[in-house]
Amino acid sequence: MNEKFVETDTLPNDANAARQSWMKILACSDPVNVESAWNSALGLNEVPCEIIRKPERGLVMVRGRAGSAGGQFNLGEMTVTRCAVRLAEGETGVSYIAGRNLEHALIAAKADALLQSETHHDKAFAALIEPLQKQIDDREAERASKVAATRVNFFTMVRTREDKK
Amino acid sequence: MTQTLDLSQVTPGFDDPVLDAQSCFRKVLDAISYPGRIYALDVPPAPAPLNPASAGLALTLMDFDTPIYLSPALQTDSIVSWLRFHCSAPITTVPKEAAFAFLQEGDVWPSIDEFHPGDAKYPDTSTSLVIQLSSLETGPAITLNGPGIETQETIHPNSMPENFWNARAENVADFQLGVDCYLTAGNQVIGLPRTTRTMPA
Repeated sequence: MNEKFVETDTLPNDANAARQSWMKILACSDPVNVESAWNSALGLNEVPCEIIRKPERGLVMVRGRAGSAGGQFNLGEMTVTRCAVRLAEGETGVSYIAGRNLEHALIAAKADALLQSETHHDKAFAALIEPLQKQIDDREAERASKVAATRVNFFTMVRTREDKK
Repeated sequence: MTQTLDLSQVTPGFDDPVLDAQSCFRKVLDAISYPGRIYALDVPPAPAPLNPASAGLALTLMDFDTPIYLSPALQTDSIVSWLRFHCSAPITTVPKEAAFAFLQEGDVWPSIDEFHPGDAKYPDTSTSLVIQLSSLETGPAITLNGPGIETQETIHPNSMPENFWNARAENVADFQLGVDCYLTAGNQVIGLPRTTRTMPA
């Protein structure tokens, strides 16, 4: 059948969960941070790889579901950049990044391939994912503290008998 | 339902997806406008037995809106993955649903009437056949005439099934319905739109 839209409501299995978590970190990081982490990951950024899909920009239709239970509707279009590469060892890395940053998509695809390869995984995880995760955590913590500083509490006064007169 | 795509064998497509597809499209347009002339497409290698000209047609014309039918010899994992990765096209086993059908020489093909002939309001919805042959220059002569041909043109496609030309003549007799064909070999392609009349010489 020609299923154009694929349901992805099911939870990922364990093999995909690890990959999803590092792809999330690569996708949610600031492009500047991704580029600086990649440029400082010496030895990793020189691993030769074949580009099977050059970074390219396009639009995807984001679909929503009211209350995650109603019928699907088109929420709106967003710009994405995607890329696919393959290492000499055979691992294929794929990336979809929100926005128009070609370099970000290329680095994310290469990092995905390196993280899947047994020989490079540990090094790539330490050089790329851990610092980026820390930067995301710091960013979230900073935002949370800024939000917390503006918190307003509402108190309800209990009326006494005198008030009722 | 999640279909996973095996990327381990997928080879790159066009070097420059925009400009290469445009120059390829120009040649395909010329091929279908001037039936019988041979055009050479410049396309990187695709997984065998998909020949470069067929691969060029796929990269240029096919997308998620065009279901593809593959004859048995072409239904390999590497070709299916390659088409799904580069064209995002769904693969169908029902000839009538297909917008494009790749037919390999030597396979048993569905009869030409099983493919979609288009309908009176939208004749463009018909199936286009991409027929992979071993050669376009060494077979028996077929004489062509019709729109896009000044007097007549002669082609020499190798090992077409015997009944193909009669079946095609019947298929395109109720113009504007009918299937369009591309004959491919190596990186060469010949266009054969439904307006072209053929006679075995």
